[in-house]
Amino acid sequence: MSKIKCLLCPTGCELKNGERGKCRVRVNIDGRLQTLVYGKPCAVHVDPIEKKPLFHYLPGTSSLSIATAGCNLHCMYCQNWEISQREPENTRNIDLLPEEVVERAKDADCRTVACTYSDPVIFFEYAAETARLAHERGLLNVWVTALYINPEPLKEAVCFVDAANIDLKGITDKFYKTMSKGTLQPVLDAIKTMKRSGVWVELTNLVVPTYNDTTEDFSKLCDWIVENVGVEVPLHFSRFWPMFQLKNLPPTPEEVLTHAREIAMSKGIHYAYIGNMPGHKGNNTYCPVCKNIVIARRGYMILQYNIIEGRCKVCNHAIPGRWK
Amino acid sequence: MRDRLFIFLTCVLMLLFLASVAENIFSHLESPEQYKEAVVGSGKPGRMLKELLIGIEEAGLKPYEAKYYKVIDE
Repeated sequence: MSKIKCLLCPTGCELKNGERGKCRVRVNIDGRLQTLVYGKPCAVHVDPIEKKPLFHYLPGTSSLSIATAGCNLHCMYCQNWEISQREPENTRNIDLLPEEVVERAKDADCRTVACTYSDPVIFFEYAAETARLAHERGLLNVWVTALYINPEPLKEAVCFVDAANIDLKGITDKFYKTMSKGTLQPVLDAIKTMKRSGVWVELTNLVVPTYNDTTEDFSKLCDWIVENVGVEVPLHFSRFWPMFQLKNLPPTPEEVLTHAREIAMSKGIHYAYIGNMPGHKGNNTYCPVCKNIVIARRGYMILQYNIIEGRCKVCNHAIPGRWK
Repeated sequence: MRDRLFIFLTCVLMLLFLASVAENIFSHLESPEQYKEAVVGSGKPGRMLKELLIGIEEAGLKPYEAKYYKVIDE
């Protein structure tokens, strides 16, 4: 029986009949690659869009968020490991076809459907059909993803993804190999492609103590962002919580996150945020020109909103994003 | 009475502390297997197709044709 090679992501699993890819959800059945998670999410929630995190895209709205089991990366600190590092036979799945996802989103007054928690790359077919139907019904599509994907499927994805929060986990290949069993370059290439395609992009860097928390790490990361996607792409430095394989580490100290944000701003990045730390001034959006707060937040909640027609209320500077 | 209450509370706190230590130890012991499972896979290369299909059916999963692959060996 035929051996096949999956072309969805750079892992490029070669599968004999009956074998499963490293993502755990794609299998070779009689020489044909099959996904086991189409219409079978194990997580369905209505979240504030700020949770993705997306701070410059339809603020204050809700997003119908779905995920299936599996992931094509294996991060030692995965915050969602209970679904991402499991086979779908071992998660509690429900039946929810793409049209039903969209129906739920409409019923819950959501403006977007988000494919998130694990990674939409590995439930590509389900994400794609859901996105198509979402557009038909006037909804927008969000991906929260590590974007470990090959160029061909990415070319398709940028046609239906409207906004994405992309994990830029580290800025060295060593980090990706050690911590996530992946490689760096495909992610960098994919981020550039997605940005160039007109998708609204925000980046997240989860700061893991002792692994990617040095001044050099932050500087190199920010330099890459400034050179390749520009200073107006929002960057979220997110606090690590001990999880999965790294329960022995402490949570990221506040001063490290503050330092990361300061480096980003010194490199010229206009919108640098701190995540998983409610109450920090890094939760807020500041106008890069007049420095006034344009959006004040506490966690996911909006406390003040000072944007009019996409511009700073005080100095009229255009704040990039989609505001309605 | 007060002394007994104090002893009781101390015992409860001690038990909670020991439970948290045990949780850390056993989760650490489980981790290498979990990690290996994550990285290397189920450790059962060439799992019989029949077993796979039975497992899928029992879990209520339905295979659906995937995109982006090629046949490399007939």
